[in-house]
Amino acid sequence: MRPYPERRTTERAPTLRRLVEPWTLILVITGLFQLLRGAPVDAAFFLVIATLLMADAAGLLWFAGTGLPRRGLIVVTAILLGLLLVLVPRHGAAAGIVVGTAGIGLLALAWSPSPPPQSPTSRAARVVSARVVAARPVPARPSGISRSAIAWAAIAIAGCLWEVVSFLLGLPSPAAEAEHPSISILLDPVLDTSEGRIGFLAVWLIVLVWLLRRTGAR
Amino acid sequence: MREITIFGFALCLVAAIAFEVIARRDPDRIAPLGDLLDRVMATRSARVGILLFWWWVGWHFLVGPTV
Repeated sequence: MRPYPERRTTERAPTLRRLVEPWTLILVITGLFQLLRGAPVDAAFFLVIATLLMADAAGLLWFAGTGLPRRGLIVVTAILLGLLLVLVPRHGAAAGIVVGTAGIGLLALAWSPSPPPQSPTSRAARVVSARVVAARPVPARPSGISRSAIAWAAIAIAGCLWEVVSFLLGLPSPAAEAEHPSISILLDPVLDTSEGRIGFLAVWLIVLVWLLRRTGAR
Repeated sequence: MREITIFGFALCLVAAIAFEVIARRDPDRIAPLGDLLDRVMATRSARVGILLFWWWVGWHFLVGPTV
């Protein structure tokens, strides 16, 4: 049995649930927040993608993605992307073109269905898998997954709320902004240095490769 | 107040790291983040959503005006 097949809301599910899956709703909320903070371009990213996901859920889209590349190609592409972004000026048109192009390619990859994993990707999962096979049948929804989901959701929500509150408290004046800096305010001077930008890019791209492995890229 | 704000962000980061360390030591009890995402990213909306957030972090700090 394939452990994590591509999951879609069933045809018999209520219409609203079919159209608005939890992550689609998260994108809509994020897009609306971007409008609130006065970033219409950023809002458009989230709201357009949310609309595409809803259209896909309604069966209105025919695009099935480009397929997932091999891990070696992903690593090479990530390295090239990093080198380009080190060379081009920050906040410039060239950076916009590079990041924008990467985003379009990534959307095409992300749209592809995940292939069934041949074996667990992480060492911990392989250990768990071996123990489970030896001891008992695999449960339909492991409690460890549930606990992890609750904990990570709590951390993410807490971080987002802290960021939103900081942003709102910093709106009245530059002095207020200095007293309640958002993450952007804190990281901006770091990214203005070459070392800071290289460090940021390294972490950002390592996370990309790691995330694409979760999609089934081998 | 500035220090309190920075402390709040640092606390979230430390909590995330500590939780992952605990999960990797006892994956039977709490699944590591990678295993959680393996399951979550099986749906298109989650896969697209999570990767969009990743991409947006890059856009926000490298392209768009951050301040």
